[in-house]
Amino acid sequence: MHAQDKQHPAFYAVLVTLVFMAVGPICLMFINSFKLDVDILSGTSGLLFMPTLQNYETALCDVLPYEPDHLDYCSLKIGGSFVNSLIISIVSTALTLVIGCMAAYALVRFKFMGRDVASV
Amino acid sequence: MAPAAVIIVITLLYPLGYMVYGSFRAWDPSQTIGETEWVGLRNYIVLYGDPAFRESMWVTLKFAFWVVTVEMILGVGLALLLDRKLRGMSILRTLFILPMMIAPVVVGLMWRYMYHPTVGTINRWLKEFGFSGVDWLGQNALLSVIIADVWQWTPFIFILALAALQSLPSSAIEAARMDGATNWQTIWHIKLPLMMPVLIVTCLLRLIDAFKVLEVILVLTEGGPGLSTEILALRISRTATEFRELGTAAAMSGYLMLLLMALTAAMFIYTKLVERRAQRLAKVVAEAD
Repeated sequence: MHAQDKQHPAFYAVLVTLVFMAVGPICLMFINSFKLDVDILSGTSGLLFMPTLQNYETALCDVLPYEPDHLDYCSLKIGGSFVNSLIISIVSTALTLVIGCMAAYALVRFKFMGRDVASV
Repeated sequence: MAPAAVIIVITLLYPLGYMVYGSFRAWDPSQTIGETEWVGLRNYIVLYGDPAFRESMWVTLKFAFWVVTVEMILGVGLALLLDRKLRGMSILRTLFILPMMIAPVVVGLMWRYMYHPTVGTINRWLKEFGFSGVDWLGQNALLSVIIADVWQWTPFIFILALAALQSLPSSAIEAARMDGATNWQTIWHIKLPLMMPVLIVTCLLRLIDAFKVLEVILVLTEGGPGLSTEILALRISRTATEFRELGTAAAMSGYLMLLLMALTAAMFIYTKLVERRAQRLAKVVAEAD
């Protein structure tokens, strides 16, 4: 295929639209995380708002070294949840790797009945 | 042999056997499985005539069909569109597969915010352009759920189709170009047939996954208004936890397992056929020399 350096402008327009549709909701959530609840729900602020870190302080309230002053008490346990996720992913990846490597070696090296079925 | 057998039994056969065993018994949550009584195929037969289960199965089939169709068309179309030398190709690819990397619960919550009838993003934009807002999570609940799943999983098809496209022999495409084929003709007669094995396996993989979707629908509609988006996985979880009919839930899981086994067998048969055809071709080529 010959390299084309210049594309049709419509191609770039389509590309921008696709990137916007793929990344748009994620950016929306990211921007929402810096807004106060009233800014999100009022539905009129868009990109003009006063950014705040309150939501992050509420979410990370038990791993913060200081006490956020907009919060009376902290009922989340995100430190514990994160450690749980970490344990699950590390242990399951390690076990899958070990078992998978052994299984792959056996499938390649030895001939046995049902070898074709299992290697699909 | 022994350690492998032990691992396979513990991780694969025991839970499966437990579920199949439980599906043949009348199982109250207050009993352990040893105390239940044998009822044979009664759970399966009762489910076969249960209108709620049939509705759930029908919704699941509709959902899986539409999701896989739209994702295949969009994913392959995207791959065909982006199969050219662009400068920012790797960045573009990373941006495009970003939706796939997000946890399904977060995707559900994100789309739930966007689908809100008054302050949700989509309705606000529609109203700005003069259209009236659409009742996404009420009347068009299945459509909304399909859109959310398509958004999340089209990148999967896109990545696999792009990899297949970039591994095609360029000689075939150059020959077509020299013979004067237009772009559409090249795609339809050369690129798609050559990509077909990969596309079919991708389609079957995605189909098997589509029957297991739970978190997005649970967060978005919790089964939808009435039962309109209650897919099988949600119905099984609801039967086991809310209705507390564990035998019936196990029987539903049995039906789902049979369906997925049929799909997996189809995938296996297809790859065997492709392999056999490739071997025959190789033999013919070797004999022709």
